[in-house]
Amino acid sequence: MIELRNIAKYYRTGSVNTYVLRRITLDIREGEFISIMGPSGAGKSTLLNIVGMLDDASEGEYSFLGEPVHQLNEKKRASLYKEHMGFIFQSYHLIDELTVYENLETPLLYKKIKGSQRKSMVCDTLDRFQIVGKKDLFPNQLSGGQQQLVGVARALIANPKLLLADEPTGNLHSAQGKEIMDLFKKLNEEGTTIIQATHSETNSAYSRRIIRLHDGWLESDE
Amino acid sequence: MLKNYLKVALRNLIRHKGYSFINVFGLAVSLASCVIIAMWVQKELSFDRFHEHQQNIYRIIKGIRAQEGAEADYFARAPFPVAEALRSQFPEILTVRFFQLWNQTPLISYEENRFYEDRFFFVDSTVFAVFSFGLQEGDPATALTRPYSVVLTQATASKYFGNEDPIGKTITLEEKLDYTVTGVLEEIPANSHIHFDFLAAMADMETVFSTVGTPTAWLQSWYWTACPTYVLLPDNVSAISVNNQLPGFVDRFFPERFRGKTCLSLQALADIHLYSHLGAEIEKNGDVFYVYVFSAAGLLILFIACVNFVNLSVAKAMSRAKEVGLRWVCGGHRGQLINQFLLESSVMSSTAMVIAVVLLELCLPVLNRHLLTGLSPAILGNWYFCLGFVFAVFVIGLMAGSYPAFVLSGFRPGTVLRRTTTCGSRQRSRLRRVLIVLQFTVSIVLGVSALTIHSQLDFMQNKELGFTTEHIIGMLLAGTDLRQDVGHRGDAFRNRLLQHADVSHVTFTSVTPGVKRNVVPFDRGQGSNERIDLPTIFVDYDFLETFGLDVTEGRPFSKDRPADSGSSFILNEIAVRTLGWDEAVGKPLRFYGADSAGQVIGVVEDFNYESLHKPVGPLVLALNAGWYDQVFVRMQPPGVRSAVQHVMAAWAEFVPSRPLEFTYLDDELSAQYRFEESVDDVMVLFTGLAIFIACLGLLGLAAFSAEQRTKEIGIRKVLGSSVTGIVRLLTGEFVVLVAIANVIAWPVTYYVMNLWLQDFAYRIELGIGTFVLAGLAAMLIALLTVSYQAIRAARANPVEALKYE
Ligand SMILES: Nc1ncnc2c1ncn2[C@@H]1O[C@H](COP(=O)(O)OP(=O)(O)O)[C@@H](O)[C@H]1O
Ligand SMILES: [Mg+2]
Repeated sequence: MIELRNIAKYYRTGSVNTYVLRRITLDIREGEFISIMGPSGAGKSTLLNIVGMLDDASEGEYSFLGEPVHQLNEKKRASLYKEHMGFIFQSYHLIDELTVYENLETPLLYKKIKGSQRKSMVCDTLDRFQIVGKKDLFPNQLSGGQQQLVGVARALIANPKLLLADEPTGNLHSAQGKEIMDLFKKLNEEGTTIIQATHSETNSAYSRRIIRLHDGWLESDE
Repeated sequence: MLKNYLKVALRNLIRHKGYSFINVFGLAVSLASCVIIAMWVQKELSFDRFHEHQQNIYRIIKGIRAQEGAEADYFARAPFPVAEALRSQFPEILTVRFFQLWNQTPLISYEENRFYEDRFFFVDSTVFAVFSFGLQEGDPATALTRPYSVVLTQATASKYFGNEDPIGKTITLEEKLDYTVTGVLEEIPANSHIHFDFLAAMADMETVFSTVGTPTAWLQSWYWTACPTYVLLPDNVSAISVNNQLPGFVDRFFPERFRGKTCLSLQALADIHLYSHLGAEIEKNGDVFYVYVFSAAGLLILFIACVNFVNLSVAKAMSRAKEVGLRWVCGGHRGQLINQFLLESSVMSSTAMVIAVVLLELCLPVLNRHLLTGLSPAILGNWYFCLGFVFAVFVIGLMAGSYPAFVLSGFRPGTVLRRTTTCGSRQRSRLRRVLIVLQFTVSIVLGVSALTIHSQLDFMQNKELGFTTEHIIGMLLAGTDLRQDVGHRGDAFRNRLLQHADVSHVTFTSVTPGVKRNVVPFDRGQGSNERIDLPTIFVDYDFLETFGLDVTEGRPFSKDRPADSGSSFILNEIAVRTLGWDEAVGKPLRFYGADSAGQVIGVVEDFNYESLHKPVGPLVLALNAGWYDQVFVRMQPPGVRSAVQHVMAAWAEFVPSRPLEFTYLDDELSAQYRFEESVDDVMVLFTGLAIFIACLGLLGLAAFSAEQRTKEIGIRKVLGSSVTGIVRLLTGEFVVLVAIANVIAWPVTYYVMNLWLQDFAYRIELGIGTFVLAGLAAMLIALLTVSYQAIRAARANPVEALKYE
């Protein structure tokens, strides 16, 4: 599903290039559940962003479902993303001006899903995450855990093939974190490919493959 | 999707109330200003265009040359006989003459209602065939064909006849001549260069003249520029060909002595209002210069508001970066994001448009009453204008929206969603700086211009004219026996007036000094009979004293020397030089072709005998009772009020049949600058608006930059920086920007204002002071605006700021 070849990422600081990722080569098949681990600053988020096409690699090749992502234009990439991916952030990123309901609805709008079907999909999701009562609240009226839940719900609402999660439980207490990990496990069993960045051993225990990053180098892949 | 966008747009507007208000309201105010200016410009450009035949109507203007071959001095009127002569040479053209009684405001009466009417014109019956002035009642073809018929406006009719039907009523001119009302005029549009309340048939003018005391011989004068004269050319006759034949026409019809010194020319009707500043204009015309100035001011105000709009949208866009990233994460692509932002700013600009229309509705009546008269909302009924307006608003929306739209949507979401977003802010703030500089440049240009116009006007209102103007009232003598019999009745009236302790001087003159003068032909006598036309005022013995003028050489007129009347002259210093004399007293001078010899008896200091638009020229003061049309009374404080009452009582005693109408000389003098005064008011208004809008923008930006730097401010405070230090940090940048704006604005304004001042013979020097003042004012206002935000930011609790992260 995903093939990364010699992916590198650097930022220009003054006249030198500071490398954040170095020569990452990685293959991920459909149905995998992978944890990317490493200390803070290791490049986990960067790698995840590149895989999620939220960021471009500086060097290397990336193909997703056989499409050479590094050669696609913005629109193609956006539609590839829209069709197949969902993204969950460490800090609960919701659109502040939209209610929970509207936040959940937004990805469906971009997918041009018709009104009635959209409505039932949003309602199902609200049900599934037990946040029906919160549907008309704005993000700043929710607790951190609730916001994160909505973030997860939004990433999952369009049934993505690939779920990317950047420290999804980082801001939650352990009970909430466990709920989300259980959900991931269930999703994975139903066929969703999941890549999560985490530095919690508890979370990585849910996955079947662990990739360790250190200073931008791929250290181990087990 | 649209609903989703609109929701976000609206909630954003509400969440950032301050920004939204500044943005929308600033744009609305400037849109409203622009529409008002557009209305004004449209009005100026539309003068006299409402006549169906306007493209074929021309005015005959007459030029007079001092010598053959010299530059001609043009007048907006032509002598009486010109129209008829034109018809005999060009049978295919129609001519119309207008005529106002000479040097008097006729008294019109109907039963008990008696008023002096300064908009009473005699006119040829062709007037309705040439011009499209309409009749509400009556038949335009015949209304003025019969002698002693008159048409009047509806307002005038109600003034005299109340609710009665005016048709068939008889009004009396100067208590002697009866005119029958044959029609009611439609209201004369504001955008006409001529306005009248009465049009009387131009027939049997000999009788009219002898009734009002104007020599009937003048009706045959080829010299007196008496009538605004218009011609309607048929489609197949070009103005150029007629113009080319006019020199031949002059040679054929004008008496020998005027040929070569007189020229006629056609002036297009549509050019009169904006381009004509001739002698003897019917009304004060506009000036195309102000059309340019106001158009520019309107565009500049719009520009300032656009800059605000862009600046604030860009600044605010920073806070939208996260949303952009998230929308990408939700599956939106760049095109959709761009659309969203464009839609959003279009919503803003449309809101502004709606508010602008409301503002217009509210302001227009007030403005119409006080500042810019004759503005009509008709322009809002013009489809092209409305479409243009909506289109402009739309474009502004797009322009303002496009920067954030294209730049923000271009960011990779990964970058945007990182914890701290500083990306691209340097580039953005460079653009913002440039825009602020431009904005303040414009404000300063407008400010200096307004100040300059204001001080020039002030200067004109207060300039020493060289003669006394205070506590002097003037009355017209027309129609009274004071004028016919100055020797006895006039003297008796004078003596009656002087009985009051606070009436110090009384003098009869031909015209109002400081406003008008006559032009009279002279020669040097003694065999040299070369004709010399010189500006002249006919005065009596007390003229010099009444107006506080001193004789610098020779002597004033003296009652003890009968020869002074008609053959002695006092010249001003410039006239002495014009005539080429070193020592003027005793030099021979007489009315052109007079029988007896005459001489110069004295020299008077120069004074401004016309408006300050014109430089002082040569002037002759002549003593000649036959020419008196006015009497001026100088009073002295503190008894002015009772002196005026005394004058009124004396008038009632001497002229019981006519109501008294008098004016203060001061008022009459300043009335000459009424047009500039209204320009001044409007400039001050719009400059104020421009600066206000610029400051609104600055306020928003300052608030934004303070907000953006909350964390930096917090850290600095924790590290021990003082409030002043932080305020300085936040305001320093803006001060530099306003300073740069000054540097750009000054030369531009200097150039434009110098151009404007050229129009005035007496003008202020463009001093550095005005510039420094406007510059400092801009700086101060900017500083105050910015400091308000800066101080607020600096005094905020640093812990609050730092907790954010
Ligand atoms: N825009 C940027 N410019 C420069 N360096 C950056 C930028 N974004 C991230 N980095 C650096 O990249 C490194 C990796 O970051 P990240 O992928 O977020 O690490 P992790 O998620 O593993 O904690 C960090 O050292 C960070 O400082
Ligand atoms: Mg990270």
